[in-house]
Amino acid sequence: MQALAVRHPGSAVSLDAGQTSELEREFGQRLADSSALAFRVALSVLRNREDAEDVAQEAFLRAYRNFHRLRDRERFRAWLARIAWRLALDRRRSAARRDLREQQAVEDAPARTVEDLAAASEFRARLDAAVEELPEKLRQVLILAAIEGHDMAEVARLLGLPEGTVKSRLHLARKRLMEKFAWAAKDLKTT
Amino acid sequence: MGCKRFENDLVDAALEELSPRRSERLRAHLAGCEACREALEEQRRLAQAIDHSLTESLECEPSPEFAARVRRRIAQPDAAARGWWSTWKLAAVGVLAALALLAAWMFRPHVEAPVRVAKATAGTHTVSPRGNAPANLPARQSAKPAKPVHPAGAGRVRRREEAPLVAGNTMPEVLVPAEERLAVRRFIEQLRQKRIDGAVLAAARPAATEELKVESLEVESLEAAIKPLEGKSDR
Repeated sequence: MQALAVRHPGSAVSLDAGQTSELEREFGQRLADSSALAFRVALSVLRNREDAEDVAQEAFLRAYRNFHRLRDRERFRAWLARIAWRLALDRRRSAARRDLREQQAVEDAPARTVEDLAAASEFRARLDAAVEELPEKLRQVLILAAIEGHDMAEVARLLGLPEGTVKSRLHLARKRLMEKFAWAAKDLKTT
Repeated sequence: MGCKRFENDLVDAALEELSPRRSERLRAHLAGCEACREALEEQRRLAQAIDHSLTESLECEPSPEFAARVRRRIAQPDAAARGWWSTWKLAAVGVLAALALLAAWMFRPHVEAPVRVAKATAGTHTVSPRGNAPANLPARQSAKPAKPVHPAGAGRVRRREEAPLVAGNTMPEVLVPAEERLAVRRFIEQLRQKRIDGAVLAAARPAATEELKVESLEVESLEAAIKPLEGKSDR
């Protein structure tokens, strides 16, 4: 992490060379471990790879500037996810005019199998819209559960919530999506 | 769709969130209900499709250069901060300038320009609706268009008010009292738009030459009243 060997701007804590070096090394490790998390959280909000990557970079930049203040380093991923989420929401608000969402190529044939239906761009677009309509508390849990492979304990850690709360919110979010997608269930019947 | 009263249970069962008691009741029902068995299968497929789609949409990895880009941005924190500060500084200067202009405009001296009114005869104001010169004025003077009066500054306007007749107008001018200017302007405007017939107004005006009739007063002589008083004082 040669490139990370820079001073921490705005630091009220004076760090000696050894401490700084240790922080740089640790942050480098976090960067490698959590890049995908920051990127995916941003992508879930922005639905655009370039914007998501830019926001994820900004999230890491902010995390780096305040990394020395983070007492519980085990909370880094939760902290980073929150920063990325907030930045992505800000970016989306400021770029509301721009509607450049990534779209999958539209398939000519109607979807017939579960996999095909899930991959179909119309279904994806409707799902994105339905997820957007969810209250933020439910949406956060749903997105993080999808990112973390439905590991409730990890989602609870990321959000700083009891596992039971996360579980009930996830159930409510999925149920609301199910209700909105009743039309798709009929299509699936013919497969 | 299956039976109405089991709709909720079917969704919860598809999401694997059914309590043991409800699960047992549903299982008993499914044993004898083909429609609900099909509905449950539909709901399971739907839940699977939603989960699959959500997961797939987020299974992207950042580009391979992601970490290198972050490192590059971290290596230039001051530049980033400067860029941010410069942007805000520029925006702040722009906003301040706009506010200053707005304040100057809002608090500018509010002086109305004098309304030009043609004076035909002494004591009588005749409005010139089209700005046409009367027939007795020279043609050179009447051809000149009236100069617009700008409410630029108080001093300048005041000077104009003091000497309104020196401007190259087509007709003699008089000043109109401030409280009547708006009414006069509107009246001129109405005349210009021919909403008021000037000829009718002129005909309806009372003749300026009509003489006032003053009746003479008869004053009783004071002598009759004074005499009795004099007689009393003699006694």
